[in-house]
Amino acid sequence: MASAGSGDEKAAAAAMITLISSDNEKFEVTEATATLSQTIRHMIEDGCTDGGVPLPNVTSKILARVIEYCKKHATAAAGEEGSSSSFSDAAFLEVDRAFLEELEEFDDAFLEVDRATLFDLILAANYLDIKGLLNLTCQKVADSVKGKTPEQIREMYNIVNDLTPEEEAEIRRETQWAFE
Amino acid sequence: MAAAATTADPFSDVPDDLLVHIISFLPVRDAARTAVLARRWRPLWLLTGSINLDSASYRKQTRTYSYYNNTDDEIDGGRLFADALAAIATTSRPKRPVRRMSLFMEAYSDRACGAALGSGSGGRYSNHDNYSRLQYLLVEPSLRELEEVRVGFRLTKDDHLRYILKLVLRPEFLPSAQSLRVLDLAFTRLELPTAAGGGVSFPRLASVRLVKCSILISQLEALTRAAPALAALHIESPDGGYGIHDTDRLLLHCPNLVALTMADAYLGSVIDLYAPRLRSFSYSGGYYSGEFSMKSAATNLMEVNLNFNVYIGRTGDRELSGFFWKFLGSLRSTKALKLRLLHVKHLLVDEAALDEPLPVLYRLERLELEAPQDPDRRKDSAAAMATLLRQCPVICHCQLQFEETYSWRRKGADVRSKFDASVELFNKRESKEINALMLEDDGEDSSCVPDLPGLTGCWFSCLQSHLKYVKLQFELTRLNCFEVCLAKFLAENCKVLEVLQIEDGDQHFLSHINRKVERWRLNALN
Repeated sequence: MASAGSGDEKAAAAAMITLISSDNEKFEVTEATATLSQTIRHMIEDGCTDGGVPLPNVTSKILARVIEYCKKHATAAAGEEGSSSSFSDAAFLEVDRAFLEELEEFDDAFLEVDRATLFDLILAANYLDIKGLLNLTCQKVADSVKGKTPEQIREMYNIVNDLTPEEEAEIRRETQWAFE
Repeated sequence: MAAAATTADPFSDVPDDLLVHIISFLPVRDAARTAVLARRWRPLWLLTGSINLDSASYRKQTRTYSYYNNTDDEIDGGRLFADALAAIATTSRPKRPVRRMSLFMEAYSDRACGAALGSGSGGRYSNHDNYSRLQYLLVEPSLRELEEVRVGFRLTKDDHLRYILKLVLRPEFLPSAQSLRVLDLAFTRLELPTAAGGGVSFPRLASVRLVKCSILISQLEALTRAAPALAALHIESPDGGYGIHDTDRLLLHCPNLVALTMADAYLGSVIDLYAPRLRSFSYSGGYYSGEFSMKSAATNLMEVNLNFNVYIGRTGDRELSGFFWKFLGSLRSTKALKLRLLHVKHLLVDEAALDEPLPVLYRLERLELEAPQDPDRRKDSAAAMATLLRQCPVICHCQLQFEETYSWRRKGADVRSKFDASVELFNKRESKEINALMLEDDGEDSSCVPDLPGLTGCWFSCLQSHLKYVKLQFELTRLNCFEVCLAKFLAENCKVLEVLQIEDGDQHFLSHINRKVERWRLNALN
């Protein structure tokens, strides 16, 4: 909706990185977006990103979603260039509440995916080492089983119970407090 | 979320360490129950190193207060903490200590939470001599390697209460002080040993977040002194109530602090900050009666976020602007600044009346300003703009908004349809000024955009070689409004301008005004 009055978009174009999905699709992203992934950050630091970064474990469908997440959250992290990894605990750097709310809304909408996609996102976030995305997706799965009985969870996720009745009874005895 | 008719267990592709990570988000009762899902799951919950206590599993009964028609959940605190003890006994092993502990309680009122914590009736009426059940839990020897402690409450009642929980940070009450890294607390009254004899130390504490907490100023000082590794400090809505101001000067001595946030802060005291490694500083709250100053150089300062949103203590405009520039002066080394003021005139100072010259923001590259103006006093807005351009010699990116309400554009975009905007546009077609803007053939109509006294004709070094990007956000009502004049001034005077972006919300004048900007620019360059 906004348009530039004169001149082109910011001339000092940020360095671009090409990511290549398992099905050989290429995605061009800024370095700031790509380095939300610690895996890619290390590759860039080692100088082995020329000719693109092959990501054999991530399909183009999932990679597109992951990039969508990183783009949004990279703007959030902007301004703290070269932040040391030792400081990753302080995820509350920015306090612009309106923006934090917007980010939360984005995250909620982002998680509106089917189960298969959610699990693929978890695996991709783990492989790419994107802490925020990993926590977000794992939390979503955790929330889905919260307050449910083991039977309900098994049914929900098609988990086959391979414990013998005796074993199961033993566990329930050991942690009786959790089953009362 | 209707999953496809998958028959496979989606967890079968997930490696064990990831399953452990997923379980670590569960309340401990749910976590323990995953042990019976299948053989593979049995040992996993023991590996999380986390104990999350959540009141959701411990709703006892619901009491209804018919008079108010409110219901208040009773939380079975006795069982909640008994389960916590049982979980700790089961999970903690010599080589696998509990590292993270969280407590989350949700209820209608502070009373239910306070009762569950065993600290009397809860809130400010609680018996201060009682230690809470959480405190007793934290004394457990098997929790002496705790690294993270988080406490949160969600209360449905609109509350004015001060605190629910009292936490005593004395060595004998917190054996994990040596290993603690993260302290994230809400509605908690913190008590430290008095500065002299306590001897508490938090050598690893890196992150402290206190929301609606209550702590004596002298003890906050003691806490930061005891935590030399502190990298992030977040204080939000601190208790300004009774007993908190035991001294009127707060020295935060934080040699490793990187990020400091003071949100909704109404401290009436003087704050001195020693933080040579500070990168990010945020303050939101009133123009209060205290002062803020840096006691160390801040050569790493990257971003400052100031949001003065309440008049407290100071009322005169002069007084306010003096306070503001002094505050900003101690943060003058920042590279980026986000500034929200109650009025644009708070940028204006009578320099003759100052004891020292206005600070020059000598590294500032990015500025975002939101400061409502009085549309009939363009002189003030122009003078404020001139002050900013003068004090920011190397600014290259600037985003400005002088309208009354914050985020009008986003809200407007949701509410108003394109149709409405078009109708409005149609209705305004009779207005001469709007008409002039919309003329397809660009007549020589620059005359209806007046110059800005205080800006036009002045020389600013940032316009010669730095300012490349300007974004103006406003709702166009008149062609001679301040923003249009400012756009014209910048188009004509800024030598290195690359982008002049104008956002007028839903109105469809963009293309018209942008064409004008281009022409002003061409005229100026020729």
